[in-house]
Amino acid sequence: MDPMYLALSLFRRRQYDKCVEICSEILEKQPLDQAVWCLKMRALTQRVYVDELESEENEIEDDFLDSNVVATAPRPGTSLKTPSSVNTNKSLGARPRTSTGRPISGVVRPSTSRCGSGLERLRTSRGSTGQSARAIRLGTAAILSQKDGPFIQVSRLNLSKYAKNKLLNKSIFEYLLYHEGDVRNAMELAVLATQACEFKDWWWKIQLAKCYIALNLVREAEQQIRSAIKQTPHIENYIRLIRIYIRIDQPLTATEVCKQALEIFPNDVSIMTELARLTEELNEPQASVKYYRNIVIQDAMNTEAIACIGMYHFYNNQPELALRYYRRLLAMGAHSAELYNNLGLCCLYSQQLDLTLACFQRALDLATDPLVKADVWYNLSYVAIAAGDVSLAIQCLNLCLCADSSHAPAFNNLAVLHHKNGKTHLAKAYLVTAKGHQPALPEPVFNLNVLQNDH
Amino acid sequence: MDKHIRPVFTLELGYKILAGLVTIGKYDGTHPCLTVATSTDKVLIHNPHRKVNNSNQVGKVIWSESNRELATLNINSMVTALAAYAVLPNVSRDILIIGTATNILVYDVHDNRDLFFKECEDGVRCVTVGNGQMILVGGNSSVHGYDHLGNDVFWIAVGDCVTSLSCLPDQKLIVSSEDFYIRIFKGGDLESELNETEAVSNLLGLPNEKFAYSVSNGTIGVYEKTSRLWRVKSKNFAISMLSYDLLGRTTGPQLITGWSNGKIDCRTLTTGEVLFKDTMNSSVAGIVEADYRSCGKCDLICVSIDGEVKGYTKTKAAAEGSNGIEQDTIKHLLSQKQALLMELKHYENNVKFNSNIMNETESYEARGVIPSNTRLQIVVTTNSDIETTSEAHVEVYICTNNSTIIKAVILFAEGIFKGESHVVHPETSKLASGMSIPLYLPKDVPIDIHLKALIGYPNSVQFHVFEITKQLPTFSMYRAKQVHVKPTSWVEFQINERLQRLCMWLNQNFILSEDIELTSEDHLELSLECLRDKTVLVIRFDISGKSVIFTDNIFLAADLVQCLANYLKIEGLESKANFPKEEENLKLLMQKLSDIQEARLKLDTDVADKFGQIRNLVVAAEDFRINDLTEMLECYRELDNVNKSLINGFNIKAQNYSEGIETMKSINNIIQKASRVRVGEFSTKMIGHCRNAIKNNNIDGLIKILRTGEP
Repeated sequence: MDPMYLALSLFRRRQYDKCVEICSEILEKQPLDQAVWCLKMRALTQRVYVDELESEENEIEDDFLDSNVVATAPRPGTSLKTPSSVNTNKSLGARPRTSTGRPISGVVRPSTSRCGSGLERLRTSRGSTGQSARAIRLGTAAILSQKDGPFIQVSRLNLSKYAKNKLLNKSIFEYLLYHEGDVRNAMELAVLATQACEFKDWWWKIQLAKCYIALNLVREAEQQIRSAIKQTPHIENYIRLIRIYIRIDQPLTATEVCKQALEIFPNDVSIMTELARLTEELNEPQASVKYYRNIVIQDAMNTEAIACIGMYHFYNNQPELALRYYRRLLAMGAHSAELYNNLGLCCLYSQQLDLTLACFQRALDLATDPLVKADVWYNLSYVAIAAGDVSLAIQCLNLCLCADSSHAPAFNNLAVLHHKNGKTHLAKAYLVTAKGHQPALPEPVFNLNVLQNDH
Repeated sequence: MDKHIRPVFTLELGYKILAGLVTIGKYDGTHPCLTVATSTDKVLIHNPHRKVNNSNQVGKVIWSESNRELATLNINSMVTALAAYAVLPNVSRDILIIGTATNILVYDVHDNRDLFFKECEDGVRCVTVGNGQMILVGGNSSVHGYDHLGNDVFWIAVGDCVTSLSCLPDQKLIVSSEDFYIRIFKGGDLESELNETEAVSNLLGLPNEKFAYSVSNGTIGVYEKTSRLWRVKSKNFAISMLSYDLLGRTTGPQLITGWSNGKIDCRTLTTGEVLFKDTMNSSVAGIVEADYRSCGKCDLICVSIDGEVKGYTKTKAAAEGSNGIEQDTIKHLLSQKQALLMELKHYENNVKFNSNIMNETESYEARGVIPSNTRLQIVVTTNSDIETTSEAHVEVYICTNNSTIIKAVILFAEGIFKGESHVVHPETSKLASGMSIPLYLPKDVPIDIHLKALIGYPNSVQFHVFEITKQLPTFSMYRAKQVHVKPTSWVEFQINERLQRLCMWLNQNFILSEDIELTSEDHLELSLECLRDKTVLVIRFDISGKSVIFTDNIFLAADLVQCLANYLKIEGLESKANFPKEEENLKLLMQKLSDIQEARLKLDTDVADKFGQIRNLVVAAEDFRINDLTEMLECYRELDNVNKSLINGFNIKAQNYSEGIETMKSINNIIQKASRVRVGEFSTKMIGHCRNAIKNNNIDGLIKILRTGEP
């Protein structure tokens, strides 16, 4: 078989490693074969390609050393940057959040898997990697060591020559950005290429925007994306624009962009998802659930939407309805500690006690992350309390604290239970610890006041 | 008549505030919030109306940690303009407009969202809103108008840095720029142009077609339409102006001015008389007006650069106010009477002396009087003996008609001397009855010269003052000279006017040794030489109406066309222009501009990348502080290097930026002048075409527009 044909076929079948090998062999014989060169480049790129729309970390709090966010004290309901202290309204549908501010929803989203703000990272010396560096980190994870030096010497690449070559420039750009992680050179190529095509290709504008975002030049990125949208309205472009506004903490502008996009792409699931997430972050659960319902009408298999509707019902005191949604998820094949945990809670509150413990058992079996494990034990303590078994509840909470020693609600509940047992001083100590771990949590403060007034 | 008015409230913001960047906006539609720009690239919003912390209530702003009434906005670069207006149609709440050196951000404070964020290549110097909620941005050489969506809907080229903008009713816009002009535009047309002695720093539109202005040399004044009502000069310069009825007069509001030394004064609009004065501890940063105490009437709020805020309110029209006016008038009349009596006495003395002259043996000289028939004569010429003097100039020759001498001459004129006046006093030995004064006129504008001459005898102790006012024609710095080679550049246009009238125009606007007359039946030609740079100017009018101005100087051509159109009251004039040098220049400038923009992009990326490095290094250094101190040192050393190269990069960027501004300015200058070789709608249309050509970077198109006025 023709090796080139084979390589192409391998590329299509996503066997990139083998494809690269064959390409290398051909290139040894014919070093100037551009088609093969291009294919190898694409294979290398595809192997490490990351969909940064899905992997993007939420950067709102990452304002260490730069301040793209305009307002420092915006009005409530106009910002995502709400410290947990603001979020104390106990209206229906308000959900508890973890100590990092992530709603405990049972749905892991790109933006919720964050680990504190930049400054917090500094304090814990976990080390922060800058924007451009992160892109590299995502990319380098899969790079294998190459035998004879790098495939392309970036510094020797004649960017202005390749920028005019319409067949090669896009592949080179992606190779530079994803494989090499060289944002500066990638951007230079993009600038030259967009000039070469007289600013008529929206694709380059979006790529430029990607580079700008990686370099933290958010406003420039905004301009590029807006210009691209003017040329070609595209769902991806809109989502990027929405992300930018979320990043500069202007959720209302983002919402407006969502609505504009929905006029052009009515009922588009990905845009509606963005809108639903936004409204949820803005503490408007009713509106959020409305959008999630629309999503489910369009796509009945959308896990995120189903889970969110289920959660809405749960906190709306309709655990039976919630149970139905979660069971649907289970039927769809989802199988995670969070889901079983939620199922267990729903069973508990809808009085299906026979299933409760079984669900939690599964959840514990599946929970590998100590934080999740802690949450499951914390929830189990509620089961114990519901059963009237205080000592079991204390046991559960202690286990929860074993897994996560900074679980403030657990400390609080432990304090209440100990107070019930008459150990006031111990309770007080626990409450103080809880307050120390999460000062914004209202319960320990309130309880401490009560204790103080009693004595 | 100083009246003591105490501030009704004072407070400290505790921030350094940039002078002139103070505004007030009702961001929620009802409560005014003082908004200022600080020297740390932040915008501060002071809101005293916030209700006590109640987070359940939506619609109330969060209190900031340190000062509970302040909220800050991060802008990240130097704020150059600040304004708050209701820009959205059918929405009464104010929108904050923030200008920085390169961008404009239109921001809805209430909803924390951008209406738009736009890059302004021409920079942002000042911002206002007018002509139907259009956001007008004054840049380094143009004024742009944006609607609330950020669409570019209006554009005029100005020619130099815009220093201030103000809107008058019926779509009129006043623009002041660093070339000392105040221009009044109606729609896109230039309606009138006023020349000042220095760059005008502030403009304030007032009712009844008046507007107040302040000049960077310390002058403030008020114009009504195009005539100046009054002006005063001060050592300090005015930072901010506002019309506010502080004294509760029935005659309308007064002009409140904040000065750079912290003085605040209140003057009448019509005469400039000071009615009230107060001082702040440091320079005034801005003066605004709002109902700040929620008591239903507007207060005057003064902010100093150290963050001191003082509020004054309208005093009641006190009964003694009218009393005061009466007394004032009586005092004024009395002093007038005194002056007239003095004058009368002088005249009587003089008459007595002159009547006795036959009998007296003493000469005039001893008595300090001069013959009653003494007259002062004035002649203005362009000096012809160009070879003998170093520099060509306009000559003002004055002489008396008898043996009296001119002791000294004081000349007042705007814009031709360093100050506003010029004194000539020859040595005692050279005193004579005639004197010539050279004048160097930097610009082609009509100038009024007020001349005061001291006349007497060489030994007199007292001198008589003669006053003469002479208007120099617009084009004084040109003299007739026969030339054989016409300049290669020209403007051609068609006017339907008798040659006699054009002849009159030439005689009125040039200083010619003898008035030119119509010698030929079918054409009129005049060749001149500029005294400034010895370039040649040829003006030719044909009987058919075809008129051509030959000159290499497009600025001169523009001035001539405008002056002629004004004289002949032409509403619209289309013309063809051919200025090869300017075209070549424009091509080079456009090329340079695109190069600069390209370089700017690269420099920006460099800086952003370095920022990323710094971020990583700081974090890494913190980490090493715990584990490994030697590595930490290494980190900080590297950080220092990056920092240094960042500073270098910044210097390069600054250089690049100022070059870009200069280039942009030159381009806009050429376009503006080219538009002014046309008149009326043709000029406006041409500017529109130019804007499109520049937007598309169409150099050839632009040059064609310059030539014909059409794309």
